[in-house]
Amino acid sequence: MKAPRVGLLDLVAAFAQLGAASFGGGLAPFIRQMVVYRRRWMDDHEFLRGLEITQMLPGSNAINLTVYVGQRFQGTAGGLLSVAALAVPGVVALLALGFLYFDRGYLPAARSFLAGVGAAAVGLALANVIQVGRRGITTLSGVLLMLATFAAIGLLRLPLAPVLAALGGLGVWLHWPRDARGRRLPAGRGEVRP
Amino acid sequence: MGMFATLSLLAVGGGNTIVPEIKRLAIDQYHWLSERQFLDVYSLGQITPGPTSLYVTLIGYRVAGVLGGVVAVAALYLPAALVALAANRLWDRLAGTAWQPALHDGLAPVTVGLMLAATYSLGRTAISGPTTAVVMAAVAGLLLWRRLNPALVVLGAGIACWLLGLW
Repeated sequence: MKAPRVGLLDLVAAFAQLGAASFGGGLAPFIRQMVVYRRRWMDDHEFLRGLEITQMLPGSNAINLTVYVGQRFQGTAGGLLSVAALAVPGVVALLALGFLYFDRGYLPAARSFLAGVGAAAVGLALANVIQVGRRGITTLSGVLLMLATFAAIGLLRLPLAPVLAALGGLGVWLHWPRDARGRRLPAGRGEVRP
Repeated sequence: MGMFATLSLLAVGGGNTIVPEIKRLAIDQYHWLSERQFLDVYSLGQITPGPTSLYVTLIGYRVAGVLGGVVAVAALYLPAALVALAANRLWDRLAGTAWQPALHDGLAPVTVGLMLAATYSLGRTAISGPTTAVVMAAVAGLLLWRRLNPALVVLGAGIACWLLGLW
């Protein structure tokens, strides 16, 4: 597919629209709808490559996918401006709510509403864990690594950066691809199957 | 506010994986918010448009008003975006090497573990009794069963609890 010309303004307009119209996290499907189907900026293959990179990084798929699309067409500026455009509508909405909540004490009056939203937000997070876990964890060592990360951060409350470095490094070492005889493949070669 | 920026440098990306860390700093270390307020603020982020990690706007707002809100988002998103820019470039360079599958398979379990820790950390405040536990389980079950818009489900749960609370 021939790469279409997509300008900075196109990117900003598209991602500001996404930022205003996408609810409930999990923006990847929204982004895919817009980029692949509605505006036809890239095909599914190219989009999924971006998603693959995204899923390795701990953290927000939305930010990294947005950067991927913006960078693809307008380099560093495109990536950064797209993320800013994505964030603006939500920030404005939250500042308005923050005024009501902190300055007017308005929302605590609806305590039961927020309790329900809070509990549901945990349910949403749980569903995400299960969905991503089923896709991303396929080995026993993967399960153990997942549990170790949970214990270190969730139960022992250790600082994030050293835990990430230690367990992430261990994960990469454990999952290094091997050849048919179980020997580790060299790092620089180009013969690894996807 | 500078501390917020320091934190974001440690946190690759935004999203749920760093909720426990933000919570620890905002509540225990800097006393910006109470445990209850943190959960309220997080919940508001779930029902407003855009990425759910934008709830940090409200932590910044609490500390330093509107400017604080904007700074908090920038402090969290700019490093994340820069890491993503670098990661995209690096990933292309690693094409066809053993690094790609190793990074891909090796980091996924750690990511899932971080997500689980975030869920647990939020749940300790949010799940305060049988009612909230039922709401959590119902929402998780519903979202796993059907492809529904998560924000509408979360909003619906809030309205349902509000109506129940009126009785």
